[in-house]
Amino acid sequence: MTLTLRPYRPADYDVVRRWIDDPVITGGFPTAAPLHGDDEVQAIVHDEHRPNHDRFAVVVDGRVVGEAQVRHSPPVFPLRVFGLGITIFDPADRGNGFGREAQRALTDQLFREREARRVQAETDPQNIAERRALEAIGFTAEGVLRRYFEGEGDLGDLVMYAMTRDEWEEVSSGWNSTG
Amino acid sequence: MSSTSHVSLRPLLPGDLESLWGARMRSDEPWADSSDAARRKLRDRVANSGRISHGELLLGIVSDGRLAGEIQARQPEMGLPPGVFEIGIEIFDPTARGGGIGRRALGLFLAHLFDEEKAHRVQLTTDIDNAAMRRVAEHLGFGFEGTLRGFMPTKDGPRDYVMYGITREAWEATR
Repeated sequence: MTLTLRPYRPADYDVVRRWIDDPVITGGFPTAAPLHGDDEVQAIVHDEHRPNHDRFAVVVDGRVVGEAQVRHSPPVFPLRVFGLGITIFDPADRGNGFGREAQRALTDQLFREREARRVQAETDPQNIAERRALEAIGFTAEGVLRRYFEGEGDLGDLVMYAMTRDEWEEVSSGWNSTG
Repeated sequence: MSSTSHVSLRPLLPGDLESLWGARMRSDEPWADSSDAARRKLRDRVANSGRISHGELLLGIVSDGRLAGEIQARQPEMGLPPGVFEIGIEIFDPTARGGGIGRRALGLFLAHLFDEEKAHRVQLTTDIDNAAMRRVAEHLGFGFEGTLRGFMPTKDGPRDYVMYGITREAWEATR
């Protein structure tokens, strides 16, 4: 498997549109609304008017399978602290390690190319697959942020994972073999 | 003074700009920026004080009729979800710290965020060794949620920060 992260290209818009307009994902709501046009998709994927958010296409063996997101809005994110998020679009593509390898590639890129001091990844405490993936890469759970999203009981909680620059320097020496 | 001073919050006014700028220039924080651009940005923030603008609600803290500090709720786009705010507070006169001004200002601001701004969660982070801030947060019902390692850049290198959060349910239970 060869996994890369790259900026979106117009040729990717059909894939993106398929998932943001998917009635299974959006609960059927947009069926009466016009589907996203190229201009709207372009504005979304290039984060026009959003200087503190970046998106990349996750490409596996030449095929766009998902999206990698980087958040760095100050002052919630201090200088050189980044938050990452990965979405794998098609449920059929999950469970293949694409998410884990995309997390690893993005983490590496943030420390290597953007001088990150700390990379955060926040996830649903019940999302065991993502937690295992983050722990396998070398992230550490730091705590649970309660009611981060609206929800009943402990729904909406978020577990905060992070890797510091020192930790990256230690673990990333073993990453070259996986690309 | 500390136990009897009257504390209130109000939008900042153009006449507050010099106090705010002076406090910033006395700050030893590494991001204290004395450029013209920073001053223009502060002027814009003052002009927008009192309403949510550019992901921030900024108010002045008044103690015994004098501007004693500022308090902000941040919700940058793509930074925090709707209904979640992060509080920042700055008391200008360090000798006034621990005098209860911050605690009372924070209490008033929490009430405003939950009652008027539809918050369902309010969070704050502070240096792991800032015992005064931690005591204030715990006194108001914030729960300690975790330690963010190497979170904040300082002139002495990255510092661990602690995350505190209070949910709407916990807030209502304290009233």
